[in-house]
Amino acid sequence: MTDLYTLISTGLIWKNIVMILVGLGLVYLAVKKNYEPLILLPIGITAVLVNIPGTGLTDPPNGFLYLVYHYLIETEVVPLLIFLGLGAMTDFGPVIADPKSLLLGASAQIGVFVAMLTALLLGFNAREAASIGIIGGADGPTTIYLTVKLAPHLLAATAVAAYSYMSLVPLIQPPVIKALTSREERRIRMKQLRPVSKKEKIIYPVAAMIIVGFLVPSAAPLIGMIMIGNLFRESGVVERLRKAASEELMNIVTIFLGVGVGSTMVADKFLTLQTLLVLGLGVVAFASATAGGVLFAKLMNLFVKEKVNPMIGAAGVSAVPMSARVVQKLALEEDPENYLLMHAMGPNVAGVIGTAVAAGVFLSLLGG
Amino acid sequence: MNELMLGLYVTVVGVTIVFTVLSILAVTVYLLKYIGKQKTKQPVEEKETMEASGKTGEIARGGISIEKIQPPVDPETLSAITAGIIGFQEAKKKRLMRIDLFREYPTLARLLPLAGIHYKAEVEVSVQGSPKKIIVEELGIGYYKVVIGNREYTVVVRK
Repeated sequence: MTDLYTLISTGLIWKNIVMILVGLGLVYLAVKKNYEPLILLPIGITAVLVNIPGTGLTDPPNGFLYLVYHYLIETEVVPLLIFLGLGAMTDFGPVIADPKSLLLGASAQIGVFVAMLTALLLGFNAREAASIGIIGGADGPTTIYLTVKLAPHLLAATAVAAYSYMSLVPLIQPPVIKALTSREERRIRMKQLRPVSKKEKIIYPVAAMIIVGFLVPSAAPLIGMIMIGNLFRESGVVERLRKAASEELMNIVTIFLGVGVGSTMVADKFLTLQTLLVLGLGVVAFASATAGGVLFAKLMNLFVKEKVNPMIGAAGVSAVPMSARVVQKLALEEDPENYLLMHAMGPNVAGVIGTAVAAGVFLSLLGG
Repeated sequence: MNELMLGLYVTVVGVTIVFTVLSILAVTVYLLKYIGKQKTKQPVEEKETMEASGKTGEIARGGISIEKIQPPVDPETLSAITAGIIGFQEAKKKRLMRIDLFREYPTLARLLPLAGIHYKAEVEVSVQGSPKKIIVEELGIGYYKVVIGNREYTVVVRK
């Protein structure tokens, strides 16, 4: 436990003050700007708490926040339960109706690898770079899941970057999309998606879990949990479980996730050059993922009969449903009768799977 | 340098695996369509029967309502035909106004087919984002011949 006297004598107190201000900044963004409040609020206020000297909250073996982090975050329990809840909340119908949206979800993962290479060039090691790159997947739980395994010392920075930038998607994505598409391309209308039967929706999570599980076993925990949650939803026979997973359980684990991540934002670990670089690389990750999706959609248009509006590729960065909404907004700006939301939801939820697979690849190749 | 090489290796392998896995998943999902086909086709079949029987009309855009259509069509084609007839009526109206003969269209203009004067127009419509060229010919009052591609339909519009 570091008490106030020690902090003052070692000159660390200013760092704690800065961190308290950072925490309050996150609280402000959550409350005033409504930026991902469910996660940024607990992270921010916990960051304030852990930087008050002498509380012992993060000290092993009995500090409360140490226990939360050690038993729930470090063991991956919370990120995986979040995935269960996400599965119970996600409608994979748009993906089933338009399977090529899975390829758009895959293409946005190119940004993950671009950001990883950029991080390597800036001096991070491969495991750190992978944890930074995955921010481009715009999937908070996956980012936390991977970072805890590969570079736990970067957890606070990557989690804050992932969730902050997710809420900044409406600011980050439009300039990239507009720079890479012509007005004509943005005005492309797409054929209405076909209706999807209940049978397809039930088979999909089972098939996806088995296929991804066999091909990338290291991604199986993430994909497995999201698909179990989704089966709860689509089967229609376990309404209580679906409700529990998507509401009560989701709310509880979100609290633990926020508090657990916030507990890692202690001054001496967070206030480093690395953190600033991670935050900067987060933007690179988001922008390159957006570009990857858009460019792949343009490439796809060279081969498909029915043209795809390239903007929907941008939704491949997950950030459900934020990036799909961004695409919808841009489409309406160009053509008030062009409704792309459902088309964008396909790559959007496909991006979640793509990011989980990318995380699985990192774990396989870089060790977990 | 080693780390960078490792990163490049991870990138090549990673991108390949991500695309491979999601492509396999896409193919699987594509095949799922055939499992669900029977289920999703039912509503369309019901509609076809309705249209074929001519017992009920489809309230459509622009204030026109299709009373009967032969042969039976799916909803998308019905929508295209409806749009085509609306487009035809607009084209006809403009043509008649240009010669300043009938200002009170459609009251008087509608009588032209009785005199054996049939108007024909090629209309381009957009149905769910895809453009279609439709040839519409008015055979009588509220009675049309509509050609889409190589298929021909006879349509009765409710008066």
